Amino acid sequence: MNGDGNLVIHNLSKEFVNSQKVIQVLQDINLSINQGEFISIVGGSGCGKTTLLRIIAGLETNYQGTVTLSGKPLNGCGLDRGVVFQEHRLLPWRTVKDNIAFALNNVAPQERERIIQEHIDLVGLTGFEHAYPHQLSGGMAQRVALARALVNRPQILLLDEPFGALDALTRIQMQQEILRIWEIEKNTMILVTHDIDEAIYLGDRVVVMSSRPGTIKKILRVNLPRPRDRSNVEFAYLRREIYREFFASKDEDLVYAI
Amino acid sequence: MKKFLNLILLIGFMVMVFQPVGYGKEQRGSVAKELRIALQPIPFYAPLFIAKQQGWLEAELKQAKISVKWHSFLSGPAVNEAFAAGEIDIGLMGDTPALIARASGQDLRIVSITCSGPKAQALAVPKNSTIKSVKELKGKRVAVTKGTGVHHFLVLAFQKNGLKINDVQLINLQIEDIGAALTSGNVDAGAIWEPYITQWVEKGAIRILTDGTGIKRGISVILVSNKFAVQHPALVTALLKAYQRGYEFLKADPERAAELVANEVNLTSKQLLQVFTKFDYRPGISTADIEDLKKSEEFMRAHKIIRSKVDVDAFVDRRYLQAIGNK
Amino acid sequence: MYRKLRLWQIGTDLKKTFLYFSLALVLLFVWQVLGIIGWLNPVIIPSLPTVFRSFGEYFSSGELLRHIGVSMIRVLEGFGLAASLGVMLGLAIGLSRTLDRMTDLLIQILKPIPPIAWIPLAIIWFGIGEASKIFIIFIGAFYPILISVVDGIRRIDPKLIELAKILEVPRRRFIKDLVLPGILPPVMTGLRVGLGIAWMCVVAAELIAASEGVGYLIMDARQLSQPDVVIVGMFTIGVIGKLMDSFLRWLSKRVLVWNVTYQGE
Repeated sequence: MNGDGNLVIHNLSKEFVNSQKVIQVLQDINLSINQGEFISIVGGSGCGKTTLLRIIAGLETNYQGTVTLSGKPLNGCGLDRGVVFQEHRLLPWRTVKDNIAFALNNVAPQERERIIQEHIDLVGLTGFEHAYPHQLSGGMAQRVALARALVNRPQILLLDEPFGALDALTRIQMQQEILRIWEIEKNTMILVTHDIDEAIYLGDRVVVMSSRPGTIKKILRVNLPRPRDRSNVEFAYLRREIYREFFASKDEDLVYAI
Repeated sequence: MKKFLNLILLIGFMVMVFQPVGYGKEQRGSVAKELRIALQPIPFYAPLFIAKQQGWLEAELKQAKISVKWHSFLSGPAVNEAFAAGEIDIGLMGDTPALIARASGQDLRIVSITCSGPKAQALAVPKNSTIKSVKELKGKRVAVTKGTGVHHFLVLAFQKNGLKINDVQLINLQIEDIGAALTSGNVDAGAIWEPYITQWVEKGAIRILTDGTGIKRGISVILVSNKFAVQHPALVTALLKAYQRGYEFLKADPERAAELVANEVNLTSKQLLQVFTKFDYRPGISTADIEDLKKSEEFMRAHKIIRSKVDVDAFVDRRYLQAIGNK
Repeated sequence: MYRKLRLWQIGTDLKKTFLYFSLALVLLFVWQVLGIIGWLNPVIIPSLPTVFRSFGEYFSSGELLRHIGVSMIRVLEGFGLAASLGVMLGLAIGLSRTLDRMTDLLIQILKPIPPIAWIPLAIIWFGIGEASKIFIIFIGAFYPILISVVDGIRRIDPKLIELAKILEVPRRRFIKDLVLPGILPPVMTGLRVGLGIAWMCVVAAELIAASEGVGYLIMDARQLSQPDVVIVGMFTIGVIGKLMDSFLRWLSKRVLVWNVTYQGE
């Protein structure tokens, strides 16, 4: 690990020009993320959270402001930042094993085998090494994507609504999985989601973003020990706090009635 | 039940498609509206070209309200296709394609010979070729359009010089391509006919190794579809009369004739005057002609160019010539 | 019980096979009947028995196989050339925007020119030997293959391209492990189309002074007014073309195990 691994975002803005309109996708984003933290970013559609993630990943390079990792500004994509997308983006013509191998460069063959097997076991897919993506369920495919993203030991793992395409039960399972993996790998996790519950369940802090323009409305610290109980009072309190940022107060009466 | 109906419809549709395809476009009915003649733009048919230029046929048939349609083709086999499709009533071609047509089952008859022209057939080599005699062609590449009169001439020329057809590499080319191949030296020799002989010699592209003198008389014929000949004998005799007239015109005034024919054949009138001397354009069907045809028929059967025998005596019909006072 | 199941299975298989050949059988049936009734002009459409007889003669004398062999070699050579050049050029154009822009005009102008139109130039450039014939076949097969490669590259899921960027996949592996397998489905189709066209071009190619080959057989029969031999030739071309296509289809299925496609209802 080089440097302190801290990600510092300073006065980040990005606009998008569309025929004559100028859309302010992100405006004055300031955020510091420490190495090893689990950050959830939550917001409605159009709030720029995905754009923010893509900027950190290095896929978008046209912006104002600075983003530094361990003190050095970002320079495009890098193996120090892994990404898991909402779609698994597995190569359909490669087996599970080869898909993970696809991410590896310059590694000796024996090391290769070991690392790949290690990560297949890590995501709980032992025995499926030779399956093709079209033979896997949505959840399983996402696990392969996860393994692939981790195989280069990135300092930061970026997850863009990774469980959005999965059904509710699998989603909860995967949330537990990601925590387990995080506890082993101990890298920084930045998760973007529209699921408030998920944000609170996973993150050390929850960054709430507003849309048009995309800014940070609020950052909440989640002080609950893990594993967290979704029906816990503190959990519910946080949920209501965040909920309120998005919806009008007429729902408040309902909350007091509980 | 539905499937069965579909099947019937399908069969009916196919029959409908086959029927016109199977039968061609012959003129039906006993009242003709037009006379459709197929020619090739070569000097073998000079008298008829003169008739065409002078409009004799059109004039004669105007009263009967019959129009004349002239069609041009590049070779005898092409005229045969038109006959098969029922697109023409009268066609002029060499003896070889005529026999092929008859052998393949076409319902046609010969009503006259158009000309004989041994010198109008030639075996040519590229201008700079070192080959001086036919014998030297052994093992070489020789181009010919299969199924034409000069194909027969070529084999006879070989026979005369002790060569067999298998002694050379025979390449089947259309006449234009034979010209290109001779010019570029891609073949060592080619069997060709007028006007290409005169054209390419004057262009400096070829040299003549031998022509048909003493080898093959090189007769061409006038073919008429049997149905048409039976239903419209007057039109057949009209054509023969026009041909006869053209022949007499040519004998009387060759210069003027050359000018007229130069419009139809790709030669200047000066060149044509020379070329005319290679032909005997007298219409008729002599015993020598019939002998020639029989010899050609034998040759073609022997070389598998035709697969069934043609009865030449039955193929030929002198009556129309007799009707115009010709022997 | 098992016996009944087997019989039913055989029944369905027979039905499928019958369906497959049914249309052709109906056509042959109609042809034969029309021949018997006498509705066919033998000069234009010979009767089915005549065609059969000719086919028998040419087949048993070995002549037909000889012609097929000669044509097949020409087609494979022309197609092989078209495939290798088409794929290489296609990759170069697909992966380089500059090259794409530079070559686009020339390619688009040459594309609509039918192979037959190239014959005069082919003769001038390559003479009347094998080279000019192979050139014609090459021209016919080249474009569908080239286009399938370039199109295949353009259609690669941009999400996968992004993935390769994130994983910092080096250029060579990008092409070998992402581009090439990714474009395989459309390129296999392009190859099938190309082979079909190459086989069709064999008739055009053999117009150039051939003395053997299926195309030559047809042209020769045409000049000698032998429509039955023409049909034998055409039928041979059709059957061989179909066999080649079936082979490529089978190959496609083996190579594209991972490609799950919609087969229809």
